[in-house]
Amino acid sequence: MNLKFASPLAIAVALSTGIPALHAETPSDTFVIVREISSIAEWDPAVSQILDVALINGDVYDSLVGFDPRNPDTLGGMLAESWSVSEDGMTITFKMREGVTFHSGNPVTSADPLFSFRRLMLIGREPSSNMRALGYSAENIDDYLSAPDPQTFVMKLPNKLAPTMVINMLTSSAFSVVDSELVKSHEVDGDFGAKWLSGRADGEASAGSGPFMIDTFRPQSLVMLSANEDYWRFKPAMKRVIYRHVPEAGTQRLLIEKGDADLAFNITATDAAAMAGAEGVKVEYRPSKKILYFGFNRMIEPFDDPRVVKAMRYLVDYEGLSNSIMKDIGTVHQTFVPAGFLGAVTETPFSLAVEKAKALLAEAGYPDGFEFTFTAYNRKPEMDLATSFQATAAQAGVKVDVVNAPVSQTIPLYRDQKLQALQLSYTAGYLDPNATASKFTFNPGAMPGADREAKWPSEMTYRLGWYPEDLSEKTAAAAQELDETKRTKMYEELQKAAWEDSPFVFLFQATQQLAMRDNVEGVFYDTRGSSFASVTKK
Amino acid sequence: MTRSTKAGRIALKQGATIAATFLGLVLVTFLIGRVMPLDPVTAAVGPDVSQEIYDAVKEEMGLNKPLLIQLLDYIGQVLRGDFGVSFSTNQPVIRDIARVFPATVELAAAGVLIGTLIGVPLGVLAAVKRGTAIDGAVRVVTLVGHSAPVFWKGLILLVVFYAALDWANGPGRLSVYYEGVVPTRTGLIVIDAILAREWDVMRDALGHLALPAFSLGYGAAAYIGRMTRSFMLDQLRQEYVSVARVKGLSEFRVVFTEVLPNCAVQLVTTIALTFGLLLEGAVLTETVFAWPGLGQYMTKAMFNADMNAVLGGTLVIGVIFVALNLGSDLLYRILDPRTRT
Repeated sequence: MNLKFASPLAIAVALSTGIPALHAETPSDTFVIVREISSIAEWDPAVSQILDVALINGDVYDSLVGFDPRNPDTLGGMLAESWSVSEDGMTITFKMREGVTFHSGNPVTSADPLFSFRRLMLIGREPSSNMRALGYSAENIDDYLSAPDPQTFVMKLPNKLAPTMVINMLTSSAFSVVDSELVKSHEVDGDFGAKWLSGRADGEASAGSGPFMIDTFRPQSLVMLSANEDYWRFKPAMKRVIYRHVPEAGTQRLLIEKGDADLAFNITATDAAAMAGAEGVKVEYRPSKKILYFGFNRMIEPFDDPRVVKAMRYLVDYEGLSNSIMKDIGTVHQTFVPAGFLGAVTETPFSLAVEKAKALLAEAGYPDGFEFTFTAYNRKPEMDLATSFQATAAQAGVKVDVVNAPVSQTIPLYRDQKLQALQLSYTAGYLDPNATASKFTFNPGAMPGADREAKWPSEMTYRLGWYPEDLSEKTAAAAQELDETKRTKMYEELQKAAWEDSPFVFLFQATQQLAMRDNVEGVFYDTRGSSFASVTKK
Repeated sequence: MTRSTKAGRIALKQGATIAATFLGLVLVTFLIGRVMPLDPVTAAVGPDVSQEIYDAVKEEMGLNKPLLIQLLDYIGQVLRGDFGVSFSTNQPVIRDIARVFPATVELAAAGVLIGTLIGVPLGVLAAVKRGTAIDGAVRVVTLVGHSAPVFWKGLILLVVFYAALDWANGPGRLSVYYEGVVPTRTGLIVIDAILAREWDVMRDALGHLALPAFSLGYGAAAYIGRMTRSFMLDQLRQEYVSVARVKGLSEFRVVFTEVLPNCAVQLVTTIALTFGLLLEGAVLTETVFAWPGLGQYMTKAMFNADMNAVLGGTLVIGVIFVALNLGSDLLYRILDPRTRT
């Protein structure tokens, strides 16, 4: 073995003289994505629903229903070829698609969604909230889900719910269908294989049936996917999809401009504008399911008076922010249902109106304003939103003490109802207004007969001490409405009613900037979902 | 007292010091981790989980136990060689460190090498030409190295040498098409490529290493240069220098055969400490250059209140400093005959 190259001198000389770089465009059958992916820890769709995991798992697992990335206009069957809803709307029967196999080669049968949904409920981690929203519990699940034969999967609903909502929910990553045989073979102490599936190491099989399989995972560094050549829908044009962890926005921009990456997720708005004119690069703006909001605690003065919160709505400079801090990264959106969802209200009745705010404050007994603590996420653009609000609120005599903190510090206090006011964002889990209505106008503790003393720290309404009895009942009713026109109207009314009484002030719907090489086509990424299976490079 | 008992006592004393250092490290890091207002349970389970699941996970993580029991549990675990699982990555901390630490070693070693190769000659030059324009110029160069923000320096290097001139490769440790080509043996990609005789991969890895190493190396050169200058000036004032000059030795020989060797002991300490600091992980450099090293790993762990990872990383850094101290002690003995008696 010739080790002379390893001598420090040789390396030093090489370093000091500069190595002729081996630059090329990324290979034509490889799609290189640069993204901040350091949060990925657990891969199991029943355990983690963080955005990065959901994004990648979206290409690894199939669901019963979903969008075809080549033509995502209509929601259709995936692993289920078709489905039918009983007349009373209480039973949905799925006919499984024949001839589909998992990456392991195991055939997909109705036993797989049954196993996947049961384990989702029984593991009980964060994604199981979707099952609870459908009325399932660890106790009742076996009474309602069944697989009478390998091609039939039956979901009975414990409560009346709009079937469109149920179908929409099934597109979310929580309902990914896992390879039951493979996962069961890794089960330890009744954990449904969660430990194995979550903590995957290199070289382990993927438990999905999607267009890609996970080949390599180096935490906080790299995820490499390889194409599933036998994918039932079509053969992906890309043989490999590589996610590289590149935390710095400026670095992502350089990689795209040089052609060493095909798609960047985290560039800044300024960079995006500058890149739009660069050779070989294009920037696209896609709506996301993320809503940015302020919250004011109804249990802490002075926000126990809804007029004070309403005054806050008039102390945000929506237009100014939209043209500066939020330019290209968000559009003004003043309700909790994201645009693009059924029943979304896109009117924006609030604007910066200091006099109106002052009048409301005077009415509530605060003619000279007041002082309060406002906790904001310690990253951009959230920190800048808080600073802007601080300046505009001061015009009405309201002194905002901004505390910037990481989410890991904010959330425990928020859950314990201890924050006086905060700035945060929420991403809808699925394409249905109930995804956010159930969070922002529904408090289980406000329902008839509920125990007012019970703790619901998973609910945002509870965290701000808001118990809207009427709106909670209306939210539950809207989720149950079978008639889509009526249902749409119900959500519209809910959103408008929330403007009067809600402790939440909705500001923006985030926009995802996608900076790409200009030869990239077919990226599916919007409020409906995401996939890179349809990507081609010309 | 026989020589062997004396050596035994020294070893025992050193051993006790090292054990106390580690115990102190664990204790302080553990307590800081527990009093920080970050909640490891929320970081692990996500913000929207129900109270029941939250409580169950908290119990599972052992956070309901009294602090002292938690500490003793942890120490017991570490003594058995188990550093626990990091929930930021869901991997055993040992495996994480085995992955990120070689990246840091590779970068720090290249950085300190560049720092030494630039810093020492600059320091010598500045000392010899004290008060001249050259000394001034060196001061400016080192001042910039010291004071320019790492982030800015890194991005400038990327823009100039990667984006504009194309002399070096971009961020990351390897280009995508070389990922997985070379089997991991040492974790140092340059060395692994050499072992596998994959010269293209080695060139690619060196091309990626060049800019972050230079970015770190420049900062290190600034420090090493200033220290070298001051050590040299101390020596140049000594009588033996005048004697050497009077004897007719050329200035070159005075500097390089008489004065510089006498600075060696102090220089070794300076370089070793610089290396130690670089090994702690240069978070900002690692961030700009997407270098998956210990700095990024520890920072992420700290923000997540991922105490297993933080404690594991801290212990590794502790081991490095102890080893570097022992190493430089050993070098003293070789370089300075007076310490051998």
